[in-house]
Amino acid sequence: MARPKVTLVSSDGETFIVEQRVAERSITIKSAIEFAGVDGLTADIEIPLLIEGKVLKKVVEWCEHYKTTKFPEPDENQVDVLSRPPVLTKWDNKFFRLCFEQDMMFEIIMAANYLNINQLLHVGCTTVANMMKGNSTEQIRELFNVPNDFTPEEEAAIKREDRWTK
Amino acid sequence: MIRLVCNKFCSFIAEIWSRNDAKSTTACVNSSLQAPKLITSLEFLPDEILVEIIDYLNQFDVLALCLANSRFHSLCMNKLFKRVLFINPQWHQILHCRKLNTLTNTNYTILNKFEGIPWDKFKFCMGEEFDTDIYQEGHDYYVRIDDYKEPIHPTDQFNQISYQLLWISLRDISQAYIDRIKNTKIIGLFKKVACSLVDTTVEILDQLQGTFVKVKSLILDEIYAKHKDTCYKNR
Repeated sequence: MARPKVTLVSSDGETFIVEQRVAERSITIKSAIEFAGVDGLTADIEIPLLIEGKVLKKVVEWCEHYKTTKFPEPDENQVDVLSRPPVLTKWDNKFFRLCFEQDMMFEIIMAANYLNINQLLHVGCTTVANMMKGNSTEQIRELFNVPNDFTPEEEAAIKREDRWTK
Repeated sequence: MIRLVCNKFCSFIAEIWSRNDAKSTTACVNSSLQAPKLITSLEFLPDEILVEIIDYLNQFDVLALCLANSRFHSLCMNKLFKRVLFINPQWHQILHCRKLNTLTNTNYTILNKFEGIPWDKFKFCMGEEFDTDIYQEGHDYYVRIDDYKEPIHPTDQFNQISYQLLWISLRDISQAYIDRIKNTKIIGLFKKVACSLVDTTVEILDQLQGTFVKVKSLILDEIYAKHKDTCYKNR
């Protein structure tokens, strides 16, 4: 008997049929399936998600790629400020570069947060951080489309402080 | 916060399932719920995600991001202050306290540690509000903790430190490490200095010598243990 599939439905009605282990990369979906008492599915299941189809497609792509990978469990005792970012694979770099080019980088991160896919969230945040590194404030604003909401007076005051960073 | 969102979603899914025939295992979405619009700016990410991104930045990049706009300024300042919070009272003792106006806090107290920094440099850092009573111009004089009768512990005001002062503190202490490490056993030195500045310093040193990564991992627990005591005992 073929294993039942999980159908993920995007907010715009697009459907993605995946294996249960792929869907369960998301702790949220896994919890929902367990909560509903359908662990070891006997019938196909459909799960609606508040995520756009093109974004969900990328998330599914990531989950498919890592469906057999075991990620280390987060250490609750780890001190956040002393933690190290996850190591990005070549595949991750390529994946997020494409996402960025398609204006979906932040959507992927938001979706990872929403679906509780920790590894995808961490890798996404690391990618953004890596893109920021070595850039000036103006370059960061331009790269990530961040509006400058400082008044001229405020900006002047900040730049006076900023001289110490030079 | 992340978990809260997920729990809400789980409840939402569970509620949907409870209203439907379990056999069909098909859930329906409330049509009033709409997916958010496409996010094209970093600014639209929630604070908890931005904080995680900031966690992965080194001190220099945090300072650059800090100036992007007021929201990032606030988030980055919190991050910087958390690092400053770990300053070890046994190292370059807390020294200075004064009031300033800034964008985010008006008329607040600044504390910092500048022991060992030449007065000329110190005065320049402090600007016009510098307390000239204890400044001895023309002397080859260095800042000393004894010059202040009632130094305040930084943890009392940790979220109110000007980042320009923070920066110079980091820079000088980092330089002090770099200078000393040339002639000192690395691990022994770092174990004496249980402060977050080690974290910052090691980041800098990481770029100079790969070996410091190993050093860092050896002392993390000790730093954290000391930090906890240091931070809260004087509150």
